[in-house]
Amino acid sequence: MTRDPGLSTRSSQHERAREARAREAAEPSQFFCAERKASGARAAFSRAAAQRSPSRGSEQRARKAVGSVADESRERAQKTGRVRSRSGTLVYSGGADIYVAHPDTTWFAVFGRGFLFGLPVPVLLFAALAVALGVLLHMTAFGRKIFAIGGNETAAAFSGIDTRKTVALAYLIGGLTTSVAALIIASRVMGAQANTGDGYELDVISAVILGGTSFLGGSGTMAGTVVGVVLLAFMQNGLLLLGLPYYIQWIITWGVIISAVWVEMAAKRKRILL
Amino acid sequence: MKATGNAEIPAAGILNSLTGNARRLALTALGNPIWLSLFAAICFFAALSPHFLSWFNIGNILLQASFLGFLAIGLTLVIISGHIDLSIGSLVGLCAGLSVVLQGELGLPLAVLAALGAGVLSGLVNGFFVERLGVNSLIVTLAAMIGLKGLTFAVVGESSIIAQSAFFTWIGSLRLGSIHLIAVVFFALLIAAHWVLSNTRHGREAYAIGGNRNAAVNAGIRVRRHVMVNFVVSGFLAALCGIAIAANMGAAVPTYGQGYEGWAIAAVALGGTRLTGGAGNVINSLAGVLLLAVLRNGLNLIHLSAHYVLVAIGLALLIALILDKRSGAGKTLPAFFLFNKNRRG
Repeated sequence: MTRDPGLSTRSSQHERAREARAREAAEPSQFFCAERKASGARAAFSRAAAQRSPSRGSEQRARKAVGSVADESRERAQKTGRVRSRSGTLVYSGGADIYVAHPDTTWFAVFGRGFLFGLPVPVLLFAALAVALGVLLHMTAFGRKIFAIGGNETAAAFSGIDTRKTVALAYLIGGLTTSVAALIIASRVMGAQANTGDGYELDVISAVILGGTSFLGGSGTMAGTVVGVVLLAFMQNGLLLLGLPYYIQWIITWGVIISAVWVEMAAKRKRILL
Repeated sequence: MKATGNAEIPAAGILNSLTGNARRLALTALGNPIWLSLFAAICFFAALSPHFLSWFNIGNILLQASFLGFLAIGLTLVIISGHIDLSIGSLVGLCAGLSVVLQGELGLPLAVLAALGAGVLSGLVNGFFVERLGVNSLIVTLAAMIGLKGLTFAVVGESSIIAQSAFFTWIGSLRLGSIHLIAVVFFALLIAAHWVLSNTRHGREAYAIGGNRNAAVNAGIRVRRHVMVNFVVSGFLAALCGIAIAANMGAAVPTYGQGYEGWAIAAVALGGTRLTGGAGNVINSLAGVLLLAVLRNGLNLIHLSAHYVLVAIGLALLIALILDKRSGAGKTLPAFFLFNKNRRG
């Protein structure tokens, strides 16, 4: 995308800020949306590679003996990542809200507000990404490597998988899908706030868990993740339609997440309580 | 099992003159670079801003640190026993809300008791889900973080509520000299927590559980009970933090405490507590908390934009990670700068 002449802001004072905005128009997704809603695909990928799970559980004990240091620092990096990318967002945008001043002179709105064959473009993008990444996850060698690493990283490394490269690629895909989500949101509102997407990671993790992806890594499907995302969206929409205050959906999400994971664990160990 | 520092420290002469607990404490402090970082940060800001080392500002920093510190103490306990508690941030908001909202209906003592009870109950629920249902603590507390946020909005509503009791706000802003009462309470609790971790069976067994859970089970340690206790303590301290914030501000807002769990984890990580459990202590967590508070306060005093404060703290955390990598491998100080190609993730 080239620079957009129609872009300016409500309160443009600093040259630096204006420059930043122009760059942002050029690359809407990369910078100001670091913590934007990742589509379910992203979390499924990194989860399948066991990247978010603290290394607990017996098979991970073994792994711990071999690679505990790397594991730990990766885990920490995830936690610090949130703080750092948010600060990056704030510094980049100067904390200000940014709007596209003349939405009718640009075709940027097509990603968020457009319709194609009677379907909203965001839905089509989501479907296309889900299918493409589903194929990648379930039908290619790369996908099998991801499952293998999530199941047992040490074993995967010993069977000749370049674990670091695979995991890095999984994160890369996560970043890509995040930027698609960012593009859609920016296009829907034709603007950006520095705090857009704060807290979305919780929704995404809930959806992925609901979709049956194991939190410990090594199992999960893209179809399940799609179902989880849709289920959560229907639940949130339905609760609002029932006339309940919006915060009720958070309380219900609490119960839904825990019972979903509990049912999965109970089925696996064939016992209700531990 | 415990990171009590190493013996090859230059100031060994002074150390040798110390005995018993004092010696152990000094070793603990010197064995971790966080104290040096804290000292460097203090010197840096003292040189750049004349107001930094005023008593009033020191009192301010200690107050800011103690809000985070309550959470960090509880979180250190939970992390040492091999779990994580992300729900504390939301719990702060809920308990702040309860202590203020219920004042009008139940009176101050009962309102505070109710807030503390909510914290303990939340810890119990988290502990139950983790230990009896066998769900990963990250998921359990993440879900609780979302749910408790919802409960907070249900209790407080969407606006700020002012505390009715004058005594409540008086206690919250009471200064003994230039130090806030809240900070005094925090340091008392910190010492108590350190004593529990280093001198009691509960502390010893918490380290054992975090170090190797299966071994702890086989050694006959009552793992469930200890983990449960740590979650309850964490919930209780989060409640205390909420009450302290509400008392200090004289009001409750539903968004109090949001994101605090991230800060608390950052402080604990900076303090060198191993995030997979089994190592760490609250004294070093104190250094992490103080470092965060000093950075926030100092960077504001030298007129750095608030946005860069986050960057600076992110960098500090990154450095802590690198240091952690070194301590995890048991390497000497210079060696950790070398990238070890043979280590696989």
